[in-house]
Amino acid sequence: MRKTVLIPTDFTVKSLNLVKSALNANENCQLEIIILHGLYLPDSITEMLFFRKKEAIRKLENPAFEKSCQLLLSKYGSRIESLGVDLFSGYNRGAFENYLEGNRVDEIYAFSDHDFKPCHKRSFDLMPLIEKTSVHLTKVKWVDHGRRHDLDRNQLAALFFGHFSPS
Amino acid sequence: MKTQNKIVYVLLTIFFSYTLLFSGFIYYSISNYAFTDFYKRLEIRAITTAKSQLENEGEGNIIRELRQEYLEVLPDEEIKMYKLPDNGDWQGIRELGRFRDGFIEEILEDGTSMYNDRRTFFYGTTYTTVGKATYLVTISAENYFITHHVHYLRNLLFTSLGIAFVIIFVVAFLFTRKYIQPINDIIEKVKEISSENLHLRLNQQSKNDDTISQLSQTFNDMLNRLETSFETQKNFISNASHELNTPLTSIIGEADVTLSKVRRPEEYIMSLQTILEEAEKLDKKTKALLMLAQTGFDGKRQKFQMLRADQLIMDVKDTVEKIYPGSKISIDFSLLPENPYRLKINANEALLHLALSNIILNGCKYSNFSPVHVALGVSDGKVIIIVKDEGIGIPDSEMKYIYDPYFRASNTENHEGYGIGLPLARNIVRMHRGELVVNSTENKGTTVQITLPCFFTNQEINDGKAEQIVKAYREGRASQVSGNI
Repeated sequence: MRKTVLIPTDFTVKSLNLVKSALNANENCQLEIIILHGLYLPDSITEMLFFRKKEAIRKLENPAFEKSCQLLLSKYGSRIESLGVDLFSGYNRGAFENYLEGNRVDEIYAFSDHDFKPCHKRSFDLMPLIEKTSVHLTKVKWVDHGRRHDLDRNQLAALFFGHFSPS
Repeated sequence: MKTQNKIVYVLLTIFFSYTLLFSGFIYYSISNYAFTDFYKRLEIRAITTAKSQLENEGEGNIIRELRQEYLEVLPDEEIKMYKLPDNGDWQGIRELGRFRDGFIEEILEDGTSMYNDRRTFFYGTTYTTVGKATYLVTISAENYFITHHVHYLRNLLFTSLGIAFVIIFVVAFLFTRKYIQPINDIIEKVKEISSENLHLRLNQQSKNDDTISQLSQTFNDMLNRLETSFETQKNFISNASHELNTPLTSIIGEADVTLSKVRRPEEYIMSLQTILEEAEKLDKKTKALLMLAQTGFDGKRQKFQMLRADQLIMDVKDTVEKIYPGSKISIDFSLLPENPYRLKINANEALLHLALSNIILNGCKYSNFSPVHVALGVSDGKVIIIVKDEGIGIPDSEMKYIYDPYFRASNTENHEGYGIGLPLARNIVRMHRGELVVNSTENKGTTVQITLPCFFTNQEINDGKAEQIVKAYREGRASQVSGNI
């Protein structure tokens, strides 16, 4: 079986735990994973002119994030059909629904204790849009083993030392 | 002699002699050419004059006109014509005596002859008129070209030689200084390094593979090895002095208390059991510490071999639990890669064991034996080991000193230690071409991330070559071992 899964991200390593949970929840599925970040398009004409999606994603990604993607690929390589980062820049629910339909998204995974931190001045939280869609949404709770430090959000360590609990 | 001077002299000699040779050649060819050319000019003048004066009117006039129009008069030009007597006896003509000896004889014999007396050049030839009378024509003139132009050329060459000398000297000096300077810097820096400050390293300006960078790289590698071997020993002493003390104290205390008065047999059995337990702990600790101390540094070359990272972590966990029986280590292998070949690293097992156990021991010690989490994952060609504790952490302001030997953070007063473990671990990781990153928040915990290069490249694993390599590798090792026996 094949499924397309959408995961909202703020380009922290912690958000990639959702990939883990999606893979664990779909044991015998090939997954196409879309890691989606909400980013409004720039307002000025010159910026618009030189706006390239790939370039924008490259700037938003940090080494720890990239390394974590590599880690996940080396662990789940055979089950991940594709793992891609994408930007969403629509304003309303209709646009989001269109995006989901266009990419044939079957499921969305998100944290229940969601703490979005914008990583760019035009970043925005996708959660309000996700909550309202018709696509099946699975909320997961990530429980850290031991004490949590906030610094870890964007360290490779955020990918380990924890488990999911049904919320 | 200083190398710089030596190089300057060599360069100077080479280039100066080259320039000298070159200008000598130019001078010689130009002056040689000037001689030949001038005799040619004299010849033309001699012939035309003879023709115009000795031949009949009509023809002579034309030639005379041509001569006046196109041939300029040379400085001190003097043309003489002598009619030779039929019997060939020229000795009678008195004026011929002023020429050099042999000049006239040569003219009569070969038809032409030439010589020069410093500035004045002489040329002589015979001319036979239509009326069969033979004349001896001599011409003499000053060679203006030789006297002025060639002298000018000579001076010019000497001046340019002087300038060339200066330029070559300056260029050679600057060139050598530019290339000797980095070496001098290295020498200065190496002089500073002694056994007291082995943690100093040469700075490498560039990552490219020029000889200077390679030299400093080699020095740094050597220093890494040296420092590691020094620290390994210190580390053992430090560990031993702290860890062996505790069980010894309790053994002594137990025995002391028991012997203070006569007791019942049950009490003796009890205390002996305690002593035995403690002694066993001591035995385990000593063995573990000795195992750590027996690193590859027995004076021979360090042996690197293929190693599985997960196996290493399990071994280290074992060792740490022997040294600190109360430690809680949880291992997270949830992101272990699908392909086991990705876990292989090229490492010196003993050293890496020592490094990792030092980090985990630190984690246990500075968190008062709360759980320490160890995780393993593989990203693109890199094995990543993460050790996370919930200990006292490191103050932000002191983060930059943590790799200095003997440095201990200000919040470590309640914990014993010498401040050797982390620098040692970093050195060992560096020797494996890896990277050690420490992140810490005071009172919250510390995360240590070790990145080591994989044994196989992605390419090799994807092509399925890894298996063959492992097989060949094992066979190679087996033959090596049997060879040694």
